[in-house]
Amino acid sequence: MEFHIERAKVLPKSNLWSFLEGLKKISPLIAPVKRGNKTVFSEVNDISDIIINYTRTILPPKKFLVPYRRVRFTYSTDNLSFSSNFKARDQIIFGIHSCDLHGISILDSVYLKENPDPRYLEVRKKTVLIGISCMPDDYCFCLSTGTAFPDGANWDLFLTDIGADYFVSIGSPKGDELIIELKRLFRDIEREDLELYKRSTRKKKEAFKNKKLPDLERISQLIELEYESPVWDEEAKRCLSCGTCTNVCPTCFCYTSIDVPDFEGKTVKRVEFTTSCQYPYYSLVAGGHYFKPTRTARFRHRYYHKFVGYPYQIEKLGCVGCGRCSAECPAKISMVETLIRLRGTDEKEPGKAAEQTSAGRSL
Amino acid sequence: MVRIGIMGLTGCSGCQCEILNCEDAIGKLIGKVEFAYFPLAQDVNDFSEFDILFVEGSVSTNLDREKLIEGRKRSKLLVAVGTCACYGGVQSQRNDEASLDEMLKAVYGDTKLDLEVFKPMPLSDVVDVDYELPGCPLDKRQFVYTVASLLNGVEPFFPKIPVCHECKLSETDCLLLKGIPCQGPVSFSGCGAPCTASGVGCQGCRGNCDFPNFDEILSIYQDIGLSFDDSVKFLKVFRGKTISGLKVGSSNEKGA
Ligand code: SF4
Ligand code: SF4
Ligand code: SF4
Ligand code: SF4
Ligand code: SF4
Repeated sequence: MEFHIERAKVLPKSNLWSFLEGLKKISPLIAPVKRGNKTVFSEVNDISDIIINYTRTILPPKKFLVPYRRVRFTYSTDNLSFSSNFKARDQIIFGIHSCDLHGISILDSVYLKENPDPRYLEVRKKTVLIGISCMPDDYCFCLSTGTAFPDGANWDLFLTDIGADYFVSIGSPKGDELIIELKRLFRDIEREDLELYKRSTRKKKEAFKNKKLPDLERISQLIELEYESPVWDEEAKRCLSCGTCTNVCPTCFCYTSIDVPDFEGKTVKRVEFTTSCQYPYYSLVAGGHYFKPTRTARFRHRYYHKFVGYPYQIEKLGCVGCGRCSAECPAKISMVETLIRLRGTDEKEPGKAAEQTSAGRSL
Repeated sequence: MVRIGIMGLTGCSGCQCEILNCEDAIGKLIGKVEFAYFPLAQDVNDFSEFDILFVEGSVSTNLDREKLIEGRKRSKLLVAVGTCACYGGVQSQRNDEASLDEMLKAVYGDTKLDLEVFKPMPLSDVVDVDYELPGCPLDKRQFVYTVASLLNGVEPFFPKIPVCHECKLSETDCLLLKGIPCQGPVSFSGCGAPCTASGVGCQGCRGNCDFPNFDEILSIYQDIGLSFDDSVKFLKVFRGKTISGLKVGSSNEKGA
């Protein structure tokens, strides 16, 4: 589906709550809500619980596409017949930031490109994704990963805050249908709205001006060239192997699968659950051999997969700059810092003392 | 019929109670297996032979030791249930700090005991243990899953991943980042992280995850205001034998 700017609409802010109420009448509505000091995506019963301005949720909306624990099927040991009572339901996920939409587009590539996962496909078909613009905090680096704005169109609607209104881009026929259904809440765009839209884009870019951003130029090469860099050891020393960084990541997809029998041994459940390359058992094979025997090897593996592996697999970086891995790391290890330090060992002039080039990308 | 035994050594019986609390599972099991020995729950018991023997508690007297050795001889499989049986339990947290005499004196004064007493130890110090289900108390779901697996000749699978896994996937706001001491990153998950969800730092009641990074967790505790000694004591509460003599700098690398 192409992105036609002239088909965009304007939603006056005063109509936002009616819009949300309208969405909720159409399908179960998932949106950011408060939990303690943080925000999480959750199904909402009362739209007044919805948080419009938030920085990041603890977990990405991925959990509504691929649950962290799921029963793939059950089988009978008598006749090996398989059954599954899985059924995707219609759902609307509202309030997704641009980085997370890009995260979902990466998951789409992973799950649908080769050997499509029928279950993921079914869920995706029944899910409406509605994005919303946001401003970065100190952990965000989506400007470096090229995910600060909702390019592409794996989403259905995207609301950009332009002051008194939201500029609503339409990304798919499903998005179109929603607009038609709730027509009375929208107005057509005018020239002035386009100007405000452009200004909001500029504003987000400017917000990155004084932030530390990693330079991702030829990043795959950098990671490969710096495979033996001492930076890995130094950073990994602090790593707890707690798996938080991959568990909160919008693009990670690794899982373990086990068969759980019932008491009679007649029916067996195949259970899949999210796992992390940061756990030692992840690389453990029969005979007790660890393919990633050291903390350094595991720590480096995540970066390697994000910046070398994904590009090979799906022609996109595996990182959308959402900052969750750094914001949630109990050891306060920062992906941006690690990348900046690696760039430092890579690009320092031979013979000169190691000096970090942490200036980031100029705007 | 498969014969199951459930016995307790030196412990609080909490794990046995927790097994009794698996009402649904026990209901389904009765008729399929025989609870041959379970003195906490029934009057008639037979200690002759078992397919699976679940043992709670640590070994701290000659009676414990004899009973355990006897049980091992009479059972095809022996499963340690709870942190006392797996690591020695809270009663062993100072094993490396005081002598047995000092301990006895502190608890019993000059009273002479008419049994042989030792520092509490895990079952594996005395006999071969087939499976360990730690936890204070053990987790009911893990018990049920283990029984179902063993009855069907399947190895139960418990990857030793950290509590942070379950904590984060439950979307609990990280306590450690808020300055509350939490042992999640160095503790064996499987409990579902109920403590962190209610705002209490993980106490490590299920023991070590694989290759715990004690150096880093100790330095984090000190950053948030605990003294080094208190940090070490905090880590030692439930880890018993698996952490005794903890020294900084010794926990790194080698598979770590
Ligand atoms: S969140 Fe931090 S400490 Fe935990 S595994 Fe990732 S980098 Fe290591
Ligand atoms: S690697 Fe970190 S910053 Fe990148 S997408 Fe994953 S959680 Fe976000
Ligand atoms: S290998 Fe690690 S970084 Fe890559 S998807 Fe799996 S968990 Fe995420
Ligand atoms: S609260 Fe504890 S268990 Fe949870 S993520 Fe933080 S350190 Fe890990
Ligand atoms: S969170 Fe920690 S202390 Fe609480 S039950 Fe789990 S392992 Fe035990």
